[in-house]
Order: sequence, then C-alpha cells, then structure tokens
Amino acid sequence: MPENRRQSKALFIKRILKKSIVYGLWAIVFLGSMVFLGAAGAEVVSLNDALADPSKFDKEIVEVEGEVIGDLLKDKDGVWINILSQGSNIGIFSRRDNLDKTINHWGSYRENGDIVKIRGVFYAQCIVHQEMDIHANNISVSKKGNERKETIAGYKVRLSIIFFIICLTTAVIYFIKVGYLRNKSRKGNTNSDE
Amino acid sequence: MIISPDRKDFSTILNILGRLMLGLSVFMLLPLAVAVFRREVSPFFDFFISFLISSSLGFIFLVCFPLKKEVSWLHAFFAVSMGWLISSLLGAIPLFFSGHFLSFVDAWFEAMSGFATTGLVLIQDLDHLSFAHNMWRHLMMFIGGQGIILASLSVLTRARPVAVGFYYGEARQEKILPNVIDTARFIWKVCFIYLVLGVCVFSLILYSKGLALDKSLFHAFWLFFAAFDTGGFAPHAQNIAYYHSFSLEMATVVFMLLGAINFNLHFWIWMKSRREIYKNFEIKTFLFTFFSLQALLYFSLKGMGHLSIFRKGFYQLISAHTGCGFTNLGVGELNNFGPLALISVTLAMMIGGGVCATTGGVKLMRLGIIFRTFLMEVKRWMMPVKSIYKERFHHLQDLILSDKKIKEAYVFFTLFMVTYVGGAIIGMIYGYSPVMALFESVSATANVGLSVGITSPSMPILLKLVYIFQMWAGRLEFISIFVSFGFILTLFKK
Repeated sequence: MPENRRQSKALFIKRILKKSIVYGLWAIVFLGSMVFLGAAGAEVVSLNDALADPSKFDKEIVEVEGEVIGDLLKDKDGVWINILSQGSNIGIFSRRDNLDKTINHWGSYRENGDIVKIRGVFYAQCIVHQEMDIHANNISVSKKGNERKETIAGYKVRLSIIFFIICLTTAVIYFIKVGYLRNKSRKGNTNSDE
Repeated sequence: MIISPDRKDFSTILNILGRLMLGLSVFMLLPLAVAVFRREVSPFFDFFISFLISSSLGFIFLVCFPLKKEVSWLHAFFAVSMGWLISSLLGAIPLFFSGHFLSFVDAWFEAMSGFATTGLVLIQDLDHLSFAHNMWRHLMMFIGGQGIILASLSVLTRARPVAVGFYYGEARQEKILPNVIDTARFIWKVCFIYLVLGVCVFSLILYSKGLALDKSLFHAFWLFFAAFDTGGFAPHAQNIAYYHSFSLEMATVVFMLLGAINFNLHFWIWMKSRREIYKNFEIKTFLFTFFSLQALLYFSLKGMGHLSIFRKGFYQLISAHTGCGFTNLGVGELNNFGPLALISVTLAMMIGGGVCATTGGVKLMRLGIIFRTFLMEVKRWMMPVKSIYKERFHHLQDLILSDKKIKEAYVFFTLFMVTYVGGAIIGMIYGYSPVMALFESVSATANVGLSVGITSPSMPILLKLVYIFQMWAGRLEFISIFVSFGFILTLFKK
C-alpha cells in the first residue's frame, strides 16, 4: 500500500511538473508573442497626420479609419478603394479576398459610405503603384453607412414658383414686343411697296 | 480720338448681355435633364431656379434694352468682359444652392474657375456632390473653353459681321477660316469629333476598372471636358488619383495635348498637310520648353526612382504646360517635391500652350517670338552696321518676325508677368512663402488649376477675389477688360 501511495504521489508530482512545464511554455510563447506583436504592432493614426508627414510613417503598419468613397476599382493583383477621413483622401490597395464583404454603402450623393477600419502598410511612395497609398492587410467595417435623405428646402419651391411667374411674364412681353415690331416692319415694307 | 459711349451704346451692350443670359439658360437645361435622369430632386430645383433667373434676366434685358446701334468692336469687347462676369455669377447660383460652398463668393470662385478653364476648387465634400452639379461644373469648362459669348450667341442668333469682335475679345488671335463663324463652327466640329473619341476611350477604361456603365459614361464625359478644354476639374476630391489607373492618366495626357494645340494646327493637319506638325514653330517651342523643364524636374526628383518621376513628374509637368491642372498626386505631395520642382512646374504654367487653343498663360508663340527676337538682336550686333536682317519662323506658312508681332508678344508677356507677380505679392502679404504664393498666382492667371494648398475655403476672402480677377483677366488676356475699364472711365470724363 505504502508503495502504491508512493507511486501515486510520484505520478501526481510528475503530472504537476508536466503541467507546469506546458503552462510555462505557453506563458513564454504568449508573452513572447505579445512582445513581438507590440514591437510590430499597428499604430493608430489619423489620415491627416500620415499625409502631413508621409516620410515619418513610410512603410510602417498603420491603422486608419475613414468613409468608403465612390467605387470598388479593379487592378491587376487586387482592388482599390478610396477612403475619406476628415477631409483627406487616400487610396487603399487590397487583395480581393481581404476585402470585407460587408461593405455595402459607398459614399456618393445618395449614400454615406461605410466607415471602415484599415490596418496595413503605409507607403509614402509605393514602388509598385508609384503613388502614396496603403496596402491593406485587414479591412473591417466599424460603422454602417446609410442613405442620405434628400431634403427639399421650402424656399427653393417658393423661389421656383416666383421665378416661374416672372419668367413666363417677361417671355410673353418679349414675344408680344417681337411680334409687334415684326408686324410694324412688315406694314412699313408694304406701305413702301405701294 | 477715343469714342465716348452714350445711352444707345449701353442699350446695345445690355441687349447682347441679355442674349448671353438666355444662351446660358439653355445650357443649364443639360444638368437639369441629368437631375431628372438621375432622380436628384434637390439639384433639379437648384437648376430650375437658376434657369428661371437666367432666362428672366435675359428677357428683361431684351425687352428693356433694344439694339439701338449696329454692334461695333467696342460693344463686343465690353460685352465679352462683362459677359464672363455675369456668366460666372449666374453659373454660381446652382452651385451655391447645392450647399457644398461656405459662401456665395466660394461658389462664384468655382464658377469662374470652371468658365475660365482653370480648375482651382473651393468646393467642400466633392465626393458627395450630385451628378447634376458635377455635370454643370464640367459643362462650364466646355462652354468656357469654346468661348462663352460665341458659344451662347451661336445658340441663339445667326452670324453677324461683328462676331469677329467677340472672337478676338475672348482671346483668340487667329482665325482658321476667313469667316469667324465658319472658324467657330470648325472648332465645334473638331470638339465634337474628339468628344466622341474621348468619351469612347475614357468610358472603356473606366468600365474595365469596374465602374457601372452609366457611371463610366458620365465620368468619361466630364474627364473629356476637363482634359480637352484644359480645365482640370474632376468628379472626386482626389482628382485623377482617384482612379488609380496609369492607362487613364496616359489617355488624359493625349487629350490635354490635343486641347493645348492651336486649333489652326488641327485644321492644317486634318485638311492640308500632316508635315506641318514637324515644322510648326509652336510645337518646336513646346518641345524645347517641355524637355528643358522636364530635365530640371528630373534633377529635383532624382531620389524618387525613374518610374515615379515619369508617373508623377511628367504628368504634373504636362498638366501644367497644357494648362489643364489634372493631378495624380495626394494631398500635400506637390509641396514635398521641393522648391526646384515647384519652380519648374511654375515656369511650365507661366508658358502655357498654343494660341487659339483653350490654354492660358503667355503662350508658346509669344515666348518663341521673344526668344527669336533675342537671337535676332545678337545676330544683328555681329553683322555689318548697314545690313538688314529679319528672322523668319514657320507657323502654317513662312513668316517674317515683324515689329508688330514682337511688340504684341512683349505687351502680352509684360501683362502676364505683372499679373503673376502682383498676385504673388498679395499672397505674400497674407503670409505665404514666395514660391507658394507665386505658384498659386500663376496657376490662377494662366488658368491651370494646380495648387500647393493656398486655395481652400478657409483662405482670406480678398485673396479669393484676387484669384477670381486673375482667372478672369488671364482667360480674356486683359485687352477686352482694359477696353471695358476705358469705356467706363470715359463716362466720368464727360
């Protein structure tokens, strides 16, 4: 019995040692990856800051947020989207499969585009595309866009009515005058013929 | 003896302006139709009101001010300068109603920029602008490129002998055909043939990029108007950079160049001799100035790599030289080019394209004449005292460099330089650096539209008004404006 107890104790210690080694290793891997990701982590920047000093962020991983504008534009190896953020625009190049399928609203007269969060490499002077752009690693929608409501101001309707009346009146007066002058000159011509 | 105007003269001028307003209102029907087609209700009202205001004013002027005198050159010149001001003011109304401008002055700035084929913008949130308003912005460039007065009057009235006055008043120095109306018709024909070609090319490129068919057609129309009339507006805030397309950029280069070439040369190449393009004085001057400035730009951008220099430097330079103002650069990128690059682009803007084209600036012909005059003087000093020497140049035919041509070239050169520097000084007074202030002043006067960032809704209102004046004066090449000022001054002399 004591031998059995000793054996089970040894097994227990062994198991604890094994577990502590596994957890230890996990902890090391986790902490290591945290340190690694921290070093290579994305810097959340405003687009205006990046555009104001492009060399500072050149080839850095950045995270920007902005409204998707216009259209999805095809290119050889991927697609382009353009984003608008605080009055500044930039082109985002992405692999097609990177693109979040949930982008449904593209900024235009009719719609406010989806607000997307883009994580990728900022190039002040992209060698591939010869332009300032961001090569996206990840694109996600942070806020859904919506339809822009068309509001017709009351004063526009009133102005339309007022100017329609003015325009019609002046046009009628003008054509009466033209007709009168034409008749007058015709009469003058017939009188001179007689 | 200077002719003093009387009431009959003013009645005649106001009658012409009335016709112009009616002509302009006819053009407003196009964006109105676009608003109906795209079901844009609010823009429909914007253009409906503007159409009614323009046509009401037109009818009022026609009723109240009959043609009391035979239209003379003086009337034509005054009507041209005032006509451009009135057109820009009326053209600003639908823009202001759009709600994309801080003030009416901003909308007026945009309208003048459109009509003068400049391309400087004060619009806010362009990416959310309606199709109808975008159509109007680009149509203004097309109308302005053809000459507002000639375009408007050709819509409403038949040719009159004084049409030549309007033609010269709108800064066209050469007639292509003996009759000005035939010349104007030829210009329209050329434009429509290129329009069809341009729309086909641009829409194919855009459709292949993934734009919907109707959208690619609209964008193609707008890009053609902006490229061929060397205007430089685009439907998105990023301008040409929005499309991320090298082939589109190259296509715009072709149409920018076609727009910057003298219409006379188009006629010659189409109808007479294709060899003219190799011998033409303006083309030779262009090649010389363009490659000299390209070399300068290359040195200032040499850290960028050849492909980037070509894609960015070449494009900016050609856009500046043709007076178009398209840009494929991002925000602030032009400033990062450095002062030497900015100076080379500024010089290209100063020169501009051919006479009898839609470009602004000093023009290639005048610069070439000034250069030839300099050569002639040097040669004269090296010759015997009694020798008579005249320099020759080839522009459609062999021409002698006459004193009249030299005088004319120097007068216009001086006027442009004074306006460039004057605008730059005002910019410097507001605290901008000399290079930036000169760049923006030249861009406005030479009707280019490239910007280093001074032109923005937050810029001082006086500077906005100065640039409006520069765009107006630069587009009409001063003379008709000076004649108008003289016309007004004679009233006070009485």
